[in-house]
Amino acid sequence: MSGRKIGQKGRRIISNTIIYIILVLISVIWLFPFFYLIIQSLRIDNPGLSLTLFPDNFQYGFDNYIKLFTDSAYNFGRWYLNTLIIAVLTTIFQTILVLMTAYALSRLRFKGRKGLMKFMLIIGMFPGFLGMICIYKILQAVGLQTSIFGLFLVYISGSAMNYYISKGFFDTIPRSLDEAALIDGANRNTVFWRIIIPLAKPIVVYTVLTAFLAPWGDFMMANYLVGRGSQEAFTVAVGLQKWLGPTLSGMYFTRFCAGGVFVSIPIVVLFFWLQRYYVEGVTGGAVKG
Amino acid sequence: MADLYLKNIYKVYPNGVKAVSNFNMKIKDKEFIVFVGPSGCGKSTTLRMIAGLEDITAGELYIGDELVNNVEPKDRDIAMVFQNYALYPHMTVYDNMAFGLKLRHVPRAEIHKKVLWAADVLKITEFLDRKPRAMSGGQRQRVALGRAILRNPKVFLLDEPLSNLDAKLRTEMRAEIAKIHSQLQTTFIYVTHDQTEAMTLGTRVVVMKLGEVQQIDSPQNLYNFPANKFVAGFIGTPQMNFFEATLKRNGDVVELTFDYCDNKLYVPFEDLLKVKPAYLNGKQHVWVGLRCEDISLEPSDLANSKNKMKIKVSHFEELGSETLIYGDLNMGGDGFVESSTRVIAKSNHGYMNLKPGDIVEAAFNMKKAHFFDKVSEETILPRVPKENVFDCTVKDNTISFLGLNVKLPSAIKCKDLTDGRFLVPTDAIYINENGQFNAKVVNNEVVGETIVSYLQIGGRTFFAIVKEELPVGKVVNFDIDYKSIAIKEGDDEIDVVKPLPVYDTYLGLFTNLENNTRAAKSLCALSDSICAEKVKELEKEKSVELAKHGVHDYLYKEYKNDYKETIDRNKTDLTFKLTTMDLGKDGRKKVRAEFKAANEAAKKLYNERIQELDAKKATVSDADRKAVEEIKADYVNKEKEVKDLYAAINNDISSNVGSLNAIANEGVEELKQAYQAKLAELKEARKNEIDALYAELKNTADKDEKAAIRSKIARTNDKYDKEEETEGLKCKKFFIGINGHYVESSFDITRRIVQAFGTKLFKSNYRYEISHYDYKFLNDGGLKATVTEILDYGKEKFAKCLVNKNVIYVLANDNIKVGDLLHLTFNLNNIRVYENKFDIRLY
Repeated sequence: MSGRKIGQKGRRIISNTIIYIILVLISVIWLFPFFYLIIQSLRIDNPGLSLTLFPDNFQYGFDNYIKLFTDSAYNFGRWYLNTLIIAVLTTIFQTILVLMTAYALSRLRFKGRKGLMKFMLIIGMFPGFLGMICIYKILQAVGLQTSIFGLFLVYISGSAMNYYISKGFFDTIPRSLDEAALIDGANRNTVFWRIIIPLAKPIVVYTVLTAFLAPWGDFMMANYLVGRGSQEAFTVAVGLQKWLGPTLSGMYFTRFCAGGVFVSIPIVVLFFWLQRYYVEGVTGGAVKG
Repeated sequence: MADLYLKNIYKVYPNGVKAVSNFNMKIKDKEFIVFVGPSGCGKSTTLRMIAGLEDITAGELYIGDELVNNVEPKDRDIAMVFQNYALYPHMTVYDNMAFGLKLRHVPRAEIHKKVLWAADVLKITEFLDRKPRAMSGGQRQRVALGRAILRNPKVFLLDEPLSNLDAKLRTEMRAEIAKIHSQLQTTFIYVTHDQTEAMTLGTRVVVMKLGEVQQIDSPQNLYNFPANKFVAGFIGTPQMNFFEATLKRNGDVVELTFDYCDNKLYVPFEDLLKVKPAYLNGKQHVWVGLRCEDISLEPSDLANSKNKMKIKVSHFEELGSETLIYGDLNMGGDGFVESSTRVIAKSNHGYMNLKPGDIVEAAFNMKKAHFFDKVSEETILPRVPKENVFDCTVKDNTISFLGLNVKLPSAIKCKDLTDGRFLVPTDAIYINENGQFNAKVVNNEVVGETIVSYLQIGGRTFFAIVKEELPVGKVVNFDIDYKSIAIKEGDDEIDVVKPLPVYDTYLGLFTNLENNTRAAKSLCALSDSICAEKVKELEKEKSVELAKHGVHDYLYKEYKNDYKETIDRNKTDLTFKLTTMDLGKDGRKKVRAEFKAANEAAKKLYNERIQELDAKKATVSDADRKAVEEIKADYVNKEKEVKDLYAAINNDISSNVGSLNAIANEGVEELKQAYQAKLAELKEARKNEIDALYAELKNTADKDEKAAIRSKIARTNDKYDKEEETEGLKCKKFFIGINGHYVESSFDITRRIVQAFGTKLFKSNYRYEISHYDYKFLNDGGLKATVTEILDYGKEKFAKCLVNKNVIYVLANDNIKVGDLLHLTFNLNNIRVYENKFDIRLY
């Protein structure tokens, strides 16, 4: 209206400006630790902790990164490999288990289905460490208490309980697709792999990401199991934490930061690689649009 | 390319809801069957059961000659088109269509050929590399059709395929589907709720309502001869007009008197020959149905018609080529609401200068009228009449009807009647050269597979169902099967003679040796609950009797319950008001006060009632008091009788549980050996076949062919697995147990029951119906039946017997006398088996 001094456009500009200022502030707060980590990892003047971002005698180089893989006392490469093996295996198995469970619960009707679903949901709410002692005793009984394979078993054993989100997604895929395929000559297995999974890409990506992140960054269970054994079996989280102990932090802090940067690389790669599937809805045209 | 046979198909959900009840149908090869009905009538469920997407609760489904109840959808050789197309969105049209063939390992070149053929038929060749998302609804539906036709299935199932399309496309696709049907020459089953689709496409149409089949017939017959009011109203647009009326016969003319308006019409009696006389007495109300094209406002029709009524015009519906004129027979009615005086008439000449509110005459073409019973809504003009009704008099057990005097057989004892109705079912008239009666043949009518013959005695036409057409104009001799006749008295049709029931009914169990105790227990529990119900009924009867003498013991209880209920209701009401309404402080106070007042009122009422009863009790006379004592004693006896009866039944069941051991173990070894032999035989055959297939597999290099052989191996294995399973069931002995008497079941019955209930069959109770002709006499054991009467029907004699107070009839020979104790067993030739709780026909 002509009577007003600021038009609708003007108001929008003001509110957008305010919103962006807030967003910038928040992202600075968010990004600062990462920035700090990178700066510290490049510091070569003193391996110990620095309270300022750029200390007086600041010098930079890639020594810390090189030392990560050359130091014979602590085999960071081995830890990295251990973690990668565990995380990749866990991702593969957990994704398959979760999706299959979700599909079964979404499509098949059997006795006790609802009860089972509720039970799994409630059991899933308890933190995993409640069973730590028990898990340790069981793994001890089979002699896997300090091996990475034992850790892998722990990670995948309860994975079917994360069915909930995938089931919700499968529920939105019309059942008539399954039925059409069944009549076309498929069995449930074929339906799952050739009809449902291609349609469920966003949820597969989500499942892969969550399945990868959990073992990759897990410290508690890893420290409790492999942290007690030889450092050959350490994961990065366990190994890096040892460098932060009171005796070693003065000598290894910058190297710890370099390790931290390394650890974040696969996650970033994985996310950028899978990100496009996140947004791509693929059910269009399946049924009446 | 196959026949389909649906035999007693049921779909019952665990909560007892019957989605489909007793669906029976034989579908011939190349037929186009349409299931039609309002939503929720079970049509889609039936289709899905045929497809194998839904389990069949009970009954048998044959495709070709194969029983397919337990066959996977993919092995039934069917194709299905879904309402929402169900195309695979991540595949191109080509892949969508080829998917089924790929899974069946058809060679690539052949797939390509077939896809191109189907695409050509449906004119979608140019879209083959598109994804479904990039296509319109009509094109998608074409792809779905293409996917189905290129597999060349035995049966083609379509589940409301056109309901997502717009009107123009729908008509187009309808023609397309009809064309495909004529091209493919395959059995089509089509589900729709649109009666136009049903009428235009189907060779036969199944009309369903609430899970029950209403009528199965050709579209023409559905339109012309609807079996009930529902079918009449569902088929045809606009809906058929229904009026309430009474019919009264005056000689050759039947007078129709319409309710809610002062109108009378006349119909010649010869058009209503098949109507039961009871409807023509001017008292019974019926629905008269008339389609809009049979009500005319044209001057030419009015001039020729004798059946005219005045209509008040209310509004019009212009359809282009024709106009629907709405009106009301009742001058006070408005013609908008569907009522029993609303009239819809069709006009081919537009509005015919009419205005809303005009009162005009309309010609009713009563030749085309349909008549339905007011309550049951069944037609009273069935194409195949069930029975003939003659006026009769009876004296000294001699019946006079149609000028004939016939001595009734001694089994029928009829009191003397002057105003009787003699009911002879149409299938109880047997043509017999030496028959007792003769009649002139006037006409033959073929209705489906039944032949109805019109016979005449003394000018009165009646009907008989005959095996072959009778020569028209000739005189034939016939007999009446007196077993199935009935005699009724007066206009109110009070039963005087009832027909002999066709079956004897028993509650029983179905069991094998291992589970017998369990099955017996569940049957005893059932009979206990029946006993409890009967006792309750007696209790009710007793209170009625007592009330006659001024004693209202039961009222004390009832009033107390009433009082309690009122208080509870008040309380919930109060809580509801306090918790959900925003009343404010005063409001809450008011509500509480109201609650208190209501409670006090209830208490007052209760006290008054009790006082009243007490007063009544005090005034009961001594005579009444005595009578009351007698009644009470009487009912104690009656109750005891009922309890004893059921105790006896339970005793029979539980004490004879052991008797199964003897017969069940008999011949078990032989059965086992035969089974082992059969298994070995099957194993050998399987090995040979599979080995041959593997050898073939080794010699083949082609990838596609190899895959085809592999799937053939899997199918062969499946086939033998199934056969072994069948053999396994055959070697197991199952028994039908009635009152502690066990008869070995036949394989067919066992299969049906196992099919329906699995291991739950031992928990269920069954109702058996046994034909009177199927009994055999034993020297000992068996069902113990006391003969109370011998019924002589002339040619046949039946012994009326009691088995635990349950009346049964047994075909008797000359040796049986009244008072004999018969030991009966039965064969399974004509047995019918029902599940008792949900009333499911199993066999």
